[in-house]
Amino acid sequence: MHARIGTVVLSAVLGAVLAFGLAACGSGNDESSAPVTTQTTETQTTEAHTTETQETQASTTPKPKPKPKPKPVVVQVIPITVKGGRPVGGIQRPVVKKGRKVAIVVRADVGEVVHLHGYDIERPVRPGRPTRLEFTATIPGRFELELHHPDAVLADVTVKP
Amino acid sequence: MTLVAHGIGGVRDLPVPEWLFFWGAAVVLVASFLLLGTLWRHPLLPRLAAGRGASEWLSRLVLGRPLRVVLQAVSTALLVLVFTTALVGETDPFQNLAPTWVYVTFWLGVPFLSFLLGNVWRALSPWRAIADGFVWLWERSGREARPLAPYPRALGRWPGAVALFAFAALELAYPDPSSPRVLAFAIAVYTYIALFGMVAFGREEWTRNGEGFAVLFAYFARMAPLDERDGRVVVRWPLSGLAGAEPTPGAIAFVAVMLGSVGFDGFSRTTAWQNLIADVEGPFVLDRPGLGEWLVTGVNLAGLLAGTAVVAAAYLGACALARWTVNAPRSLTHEFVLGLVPIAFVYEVAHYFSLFVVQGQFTIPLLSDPFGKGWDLLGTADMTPNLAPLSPNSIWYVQAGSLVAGHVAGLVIAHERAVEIFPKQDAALRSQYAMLGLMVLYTVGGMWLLSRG
Repeated sequence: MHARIGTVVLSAVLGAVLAFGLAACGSGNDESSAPVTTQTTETQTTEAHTTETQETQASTTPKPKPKPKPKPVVVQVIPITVKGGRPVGGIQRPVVKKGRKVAIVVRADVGEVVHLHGYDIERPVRPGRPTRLEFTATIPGRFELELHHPDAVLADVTVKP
Repeated sequence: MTLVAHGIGGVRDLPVPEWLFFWGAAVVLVASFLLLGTLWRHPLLPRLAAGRGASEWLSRLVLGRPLRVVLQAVSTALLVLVFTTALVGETDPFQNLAPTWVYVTFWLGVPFLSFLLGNVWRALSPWRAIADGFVWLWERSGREARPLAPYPRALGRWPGAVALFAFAALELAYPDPSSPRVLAFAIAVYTYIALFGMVAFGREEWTRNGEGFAVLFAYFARMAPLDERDGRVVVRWPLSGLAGAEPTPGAIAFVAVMLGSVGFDGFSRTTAWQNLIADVEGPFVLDRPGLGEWLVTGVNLAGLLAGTAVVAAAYLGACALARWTVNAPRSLTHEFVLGLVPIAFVYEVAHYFSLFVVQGQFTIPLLSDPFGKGWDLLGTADMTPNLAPLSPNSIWYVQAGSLVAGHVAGLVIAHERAVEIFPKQDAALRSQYAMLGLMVLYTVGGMWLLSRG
């Protein structure tokens, strides 16, 4: 009886270790191979919501052409449209790398102010004209961009380390 | 309206990366099975719980009247201050002391203090302080202070569970929890209930059963290495205060609210829930924003209730399974409930640790300018908090590490109880399979919630 329970426990332990260990290794590998593809995946996933101005096309072209300027200023633009007090296409979820300059451009038909939590940036909304929130992504974490009066969450901005 | 859960705060943690989630879960499983085979066979905690009495003068200093009176006076003054700021101060939650004080300094600070130092809330509770002061005055006038009625035994900790659930509902279900005016209303109502409870049933009874915060902090304090016994400070093994059964009615409900509310806090921040809330409110946002907010509150409340119910059902199910495996003559539900206390505590640590560290810093400037009127009472109004004091990596390790540690602690407590109530070692071991499954479920579930974006 005891021996049987012992075997069952032992095999369960081994099974669990193997399963989770493998899973962990698998995702560990993903993680380690991620940096190589970060640039492209980031552009792909954020393409729908964001456009990169003056972004170098290094990762897509085989040979980067020599740049006259040593370091171009890269600003990640996140456009958001508000119709009827709601973000068009649902709550936006842009991902930004830490240290990057970001410009959130909100075009809203209603509302008084837009407010980015954490960074605590507040800008007045003028209907028909874009509202720009510019900041450098220095704090990692997730931050909500809210419209006030009427209130709505427009975006959940992730700043990755 | 805000989707930032847990009351107040601007920075939210990044989700725990998947590899850490899998490693954490693997460690939990392996640790569980190793513990199951190697733990002690005879009850151990009662002996460790006895502890050692601290020196006479230390006990007199810590538990003596002077310190208590000072603490109670400060705490009462703080309650009055926070209530007043909530009532008449600036309405911006970040300019007003009340929201940060209630949801961060108090709500997260006191659990940590209780875990480290024992039941500090006995001396820090402003409601207890007011009641003590009232009784002192009353008795000085030569009358005897007596409760109006004996506390109904059958109620047990149900009133405390309801109070805790109400607080969780305000914090997590109501769309504007950090509005100072709403807080003023909540503080007024709760103060009234707490004082009424103490007048009606006596200070001790209500503190033990009905004052939700006191019940919660007392549970956390049972893990502390310090305790009070017969007017003396006792140093004991951490966790040893959790030995024994918890037959009080409502205890399971209370612990379920503890776990369920933090679980729902995590779940309410997932993409799925946020989108659901936006969809519910969407059609009303322009024309009838009030109605939209009530709908959101209703949906959140349903989620909070469901979270609590799921936690409770899982526990009751595991207990029923354990009873069936060992043919126990009576229900085991009261035997293992204290094993969930460490898990509830680490849920809190994992979810709120960074909020406490980041948002807690705002207490210092806010104390200088509690009403948001541009004052600088303590000269600290200009302190700029560091919004990124911890790297995401260290936050993740604290989150995963505390969940694993709480899991092991919970197993140890449940195992201890099993060897105490089942004289046959075989039965003790078998009764723990269900408990182990339950705790793996809680811990991995908690970690999964942290890894959701």
